[in-house]
Amino acid sequence: MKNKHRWPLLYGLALTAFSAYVLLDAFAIPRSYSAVTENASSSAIAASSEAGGGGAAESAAVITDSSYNDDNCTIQITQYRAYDTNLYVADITLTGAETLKTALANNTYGKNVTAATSEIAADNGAILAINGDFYGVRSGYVIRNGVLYRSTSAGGEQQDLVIGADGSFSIVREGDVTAEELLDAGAQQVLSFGPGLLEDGEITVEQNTEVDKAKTSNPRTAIGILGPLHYVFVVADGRTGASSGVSLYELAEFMQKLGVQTAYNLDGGGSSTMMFNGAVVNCPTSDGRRIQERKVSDIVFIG
Amino acid sequence: MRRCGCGYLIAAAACGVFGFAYEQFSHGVYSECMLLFFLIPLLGGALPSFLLLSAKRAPGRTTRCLWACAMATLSVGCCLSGVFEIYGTVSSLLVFYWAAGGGLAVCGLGHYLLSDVRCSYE
Repeated sequence: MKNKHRWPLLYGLALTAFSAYVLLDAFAIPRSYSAVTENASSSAIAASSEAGGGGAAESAAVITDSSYNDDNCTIQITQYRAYDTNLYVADITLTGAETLKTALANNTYGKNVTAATSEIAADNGAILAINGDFYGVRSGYVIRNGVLYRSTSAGGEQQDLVIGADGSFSIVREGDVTAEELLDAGAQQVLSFGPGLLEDGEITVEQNTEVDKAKTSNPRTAIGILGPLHYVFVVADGRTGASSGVSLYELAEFMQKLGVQTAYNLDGGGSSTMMFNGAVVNCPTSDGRRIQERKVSDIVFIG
Repeated sequence: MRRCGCGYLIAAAACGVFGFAYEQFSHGVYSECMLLFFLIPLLGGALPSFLLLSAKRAPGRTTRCLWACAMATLSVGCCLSGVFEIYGTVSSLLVFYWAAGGGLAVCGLGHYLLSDVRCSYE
C-alpha cells in the first residue's frame, strides 16, 4: 500500500466498521433494560385460574371463527371493504377495565427485543391482540400495566394515548405532562405513537396529516373507544394487490362512522397485525409480496 | 483539482441514485436526509474543487484528504439519518458523524488556510 493512500484507506475502513456497528445497534443487537417482574396480564390470569374463575370462564366461553363471549368480554370480528382496502374491526365489550392489557415481547423492556404479535399474544394468553406502538425503535413515554418504563419525551407535540384504570381513553401531548404525572394520575397504559384520530367523535387529523413523513396509504392499526368499556381494534391491510391501505384521515373517517369517540393510531406498515383466538386475522406484510408478521416490541390485547 | 472535482461529481451522482432508489422502496415515507444527501459531495466537494481551479494556490494533499474524509463522514451520517427516519427510529450514535465530519472539515480548512499563510510569509 502506498504511504499516501494509507490513512484515507484506514479512515474509510474505520468509517465502514463504525457504520456497521451503528446499523447493528439500531436494528439488531438486543438490549434488555428490565424484565416485567409482575406482568399484570399473567398475574390476572394466574389469579383467576387459581380461583377457578379462569376455568369457569373458559368453559363458559362461546367461541366461533369471528366471535368470543364469556363472563368478562364479548368480541365480534367484522371484515369491511372500504377505500379499496380490507379493514378488520374487533368490537369489544368488557365487564372490567382490567381485561384490556398490554404486553412486551419476551416480557422484557428493552431495545430490539421483539417477537411476532401472535407469539406475544400466545405468551400472555390473549384472546384478541393487535400490535402496539413499537416503543423499542421510538422515543416517548412507556407506561404498561401501571409500570413506568420510560419517561423521556419524544417531543412536546408527541401525542400519547392514555388508558386510565377505569378503561377511559384520553389523548395528551408529551409537552403538556410528564410521564410521572400521568402515572400519578392513574394511567395504566401510555402508548406513544399517534397521532390521535378522533376526540369527542370529531376527526382530529387533516387530510394530509401523516405519521412522520409518510404521505401514502399504508397498512394501519388503531384503537378506539365508543363508550364505557366498549372498544374497537381496527387493522387495515395494505401494500398488496387486494388492499392499497388507508391514509390516517381515511382511517379516522372510517372509525367515526363506527361511532368511535376517541381513536388513536398505533404502529402501522408491516407491523399491523390482528390476532384472534390463536390465528392472525389480517394479511400483515412489509413489502407486499410476503404475507408475514413483523416482529414488534409490544401488543395491546384482551385476555 | 479538476480530477478531484470529477470524483466528487461521481460520488454525488452515486449518492443521488442511492437516495432515489431507497425512497422508491420506503412505502411513501420520505426523508429529506435521504433525498438530499447527494448535496454534500456536490456542494461540499465538487463545487469547491471547481471553484479552486482558478485559485492561486491549490490545496495540498493533506488538505484534500482531510476534506474528503469529512465529506465522506457527513454523507454517510446523513444517509444513515435518512435510513433511521424512514424506519421511524433514532440513534444517539449519529452525533459522532456530525462531530467527526465537522472536525475533519475544520481541520482541512484550517490546514489549507494556515499553509496558505505560511506560503505568503515565505
